[in-house]
Amino acid sequence: MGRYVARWITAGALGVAGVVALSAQAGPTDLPKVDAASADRGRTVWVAQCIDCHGSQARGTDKGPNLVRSVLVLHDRYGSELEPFLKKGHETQSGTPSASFTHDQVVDLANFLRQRIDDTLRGSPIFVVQNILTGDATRGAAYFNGAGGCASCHSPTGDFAGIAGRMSPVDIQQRMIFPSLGGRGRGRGRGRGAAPATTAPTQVVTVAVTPPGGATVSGALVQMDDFTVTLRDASGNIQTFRRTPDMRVVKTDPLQAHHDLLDRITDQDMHDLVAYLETLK
Amino acid sequence: MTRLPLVFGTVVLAGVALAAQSAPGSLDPHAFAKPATTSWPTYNGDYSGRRFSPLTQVTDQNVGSLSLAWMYRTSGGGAIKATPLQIDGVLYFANPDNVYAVDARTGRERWHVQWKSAGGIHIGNRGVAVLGDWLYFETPDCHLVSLNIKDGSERWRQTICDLDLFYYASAAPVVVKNHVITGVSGDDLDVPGYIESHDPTTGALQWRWYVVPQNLGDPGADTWPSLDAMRHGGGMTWQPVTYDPDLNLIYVATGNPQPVVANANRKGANLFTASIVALNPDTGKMVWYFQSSPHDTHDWDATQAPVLIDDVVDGRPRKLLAQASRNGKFFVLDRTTGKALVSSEFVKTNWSLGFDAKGQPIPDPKKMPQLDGALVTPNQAGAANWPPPSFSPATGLFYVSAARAWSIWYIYDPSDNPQGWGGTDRGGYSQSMIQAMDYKTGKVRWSHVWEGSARSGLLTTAGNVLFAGGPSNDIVALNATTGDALWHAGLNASVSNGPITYDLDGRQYVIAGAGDTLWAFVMNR
Repeated sequence: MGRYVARWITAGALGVAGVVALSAQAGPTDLPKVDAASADRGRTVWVAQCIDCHGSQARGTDKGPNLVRSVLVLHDRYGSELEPFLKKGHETQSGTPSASFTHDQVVDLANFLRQRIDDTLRGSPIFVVQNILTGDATRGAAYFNGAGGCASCHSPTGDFAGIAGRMSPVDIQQRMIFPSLGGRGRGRGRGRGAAPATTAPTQVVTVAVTPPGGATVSGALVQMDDFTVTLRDASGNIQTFRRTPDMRVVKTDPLQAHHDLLDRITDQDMHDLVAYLETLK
Repeated sequence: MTRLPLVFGTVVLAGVALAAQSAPGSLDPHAFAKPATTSWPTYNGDYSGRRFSPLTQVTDQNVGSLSLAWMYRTSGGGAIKATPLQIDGVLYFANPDNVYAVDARTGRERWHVQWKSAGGIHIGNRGVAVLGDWLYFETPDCHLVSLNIKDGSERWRQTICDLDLFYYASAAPVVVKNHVITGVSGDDLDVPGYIESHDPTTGALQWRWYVVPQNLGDPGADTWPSLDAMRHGGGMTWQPVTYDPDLNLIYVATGNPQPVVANANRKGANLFTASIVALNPDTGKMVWYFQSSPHDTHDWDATQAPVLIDDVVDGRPRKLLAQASRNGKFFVLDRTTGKALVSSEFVKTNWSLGFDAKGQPIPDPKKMPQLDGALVTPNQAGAANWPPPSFSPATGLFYVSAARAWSIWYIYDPSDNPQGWGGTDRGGYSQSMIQAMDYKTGKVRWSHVWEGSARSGLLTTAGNVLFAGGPSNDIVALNATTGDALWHAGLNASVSNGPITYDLDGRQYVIAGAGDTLWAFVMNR
């Protein structure tokens, strides 16, 4: 289920005043915090003792279970569950008795495993876009100059000159499809979004209002709903009109061609266009 | 709750033994079969999920005279996403870690309870349930709690999920007979969704139904590639159930499968995720299912309300169920059998290849998330989301807060064994609207497109009025027959819950939550 915004954790006894705001999180408040140096040491132990059965990312193999999904590991706090388990004896790939692991080694392993769990969460360092340059630049150029209608507003030697040097491929893709976001399209949840575009669009939605029997007033759209419309006219004045059935209101969105493209462009067209724009170094 | 066993290896969730027992606290199964006028006694006002009121004091002709009666600003918990219950002149609602009792006539606080939290995601709370003198609510740190409605004092608490497994609790419980039906939330890690029934008096677990099969050979197991995949297959039960007392069936809408986006290790339909499921509330046994999003890969959990509609065909009554699903599809089912009668769209989508013989959508593999991106409509937020829809028997129309929205979907984890999400969508262009659906044909009767973004729960009344949140931090009244805008009032934030209405002392109130504030409107006189 999509979550839009993480909010607050409040604390305080039932019926007792006083609210403490903490940062929102998915798990319990005592969720282990990974010590990176310890996790690195744990990786060494992992490679020597565990990796053959449980895999490089602890997601299991035919010989051993997935530990990212292990209830024991998920309940663990810096070895609190792992150490008693290993003390009972568990097969290791080197033959070293697991009961001989030192407390520090177990803590290191616990940190390594918690790091693997965290890596599965949105916002983890490995939660990033892969290679998206799969299109054909020649076809992309043809679409740019033909069916896409891009050339009617954009030029490879004008506003798009050197665009590949200013923006990453995924930013080009996002900006091209969703220009109203200025290339700031972000993954939802806690995923990493695209970096902000280096040049923000300056497109302005305008509106022309013609009251019954009155002159047309035009300007930049400030706000509009079913009941009122507000614009900023050429003098910078803000004007608000109460909408009536006989009032003519015409909105002009300079990005409308991009919005209309959403229903026409294919994924192949999209990838070809990115490949073409990526040639504009 | 049975404590889950510690097992080194895969998550093994033991079956929970049936512990059903007779209890002194029980509800007449027909108590909420019809909409009330002087109260709003359950999440949807009644069991049907219609959110339709027979009140007629406020009409499409006089709604312009609706005026502010009072406002109540909460003191903790964030936005009000809960639908308040109104019982004996008191409103009861919750937001995360907080429960409020507010005078329904004046907005004065009766009591406020804060819960000491041990964690969990505090994204929202959908509300409370009440049976007699007792209130039930869920907490982000995985508890079901019972309070005395007179003063908020605690009667009991039960653990309903495991925080360490990244579950949390946000749903509104629903009382059916002597069962408190509770759902669970959370889709960060790959854990199974389930729904439970608890004894209203003691809190004891009566039954648990897992959304995904837990053992080979279980119903639906053949739609998963492995035991490990299905035991970690997700399917959270985020939203309150609806209930038909004559059929004695609760209708559960289930969430998305796990891993959410990268899906290489869960090939198949992934039952019973993203489905509408009919369960016997006394046993937790499944009677039928319909999968709204087979093999979902876009976080389109199908937890939108299953709304019960009673129709007459050839002079004979017919029991129907309608859902405007997050994936943009509109379904009308026979709620006795689960068979689809209508499968259509309430907004245009681009991700499916039509419908199969059961009326279920056929996903287009090309529109599943890709390494280089796939442009898909709807986006992750969906063509609809959790805000509850409404059905008016007076107009015969099903209303839903909808969006035509696009985003690009990426696979981030190209391995053959992804975990968690393994991808997401980015970007977006969205157009918000209210869609009024003719449930007999599955076609859009009218569409009210908002200038800006708006998505709220809906309410319809016999006065031919549809109440919704508008795009200008306002509550808006539309003509329910035509969709024409009639009235609005500015609030402090966009409407964040489903509006309700009730009559007290001969005056019809309309209540909506916006951000941290509850707003009450009443007719001038």
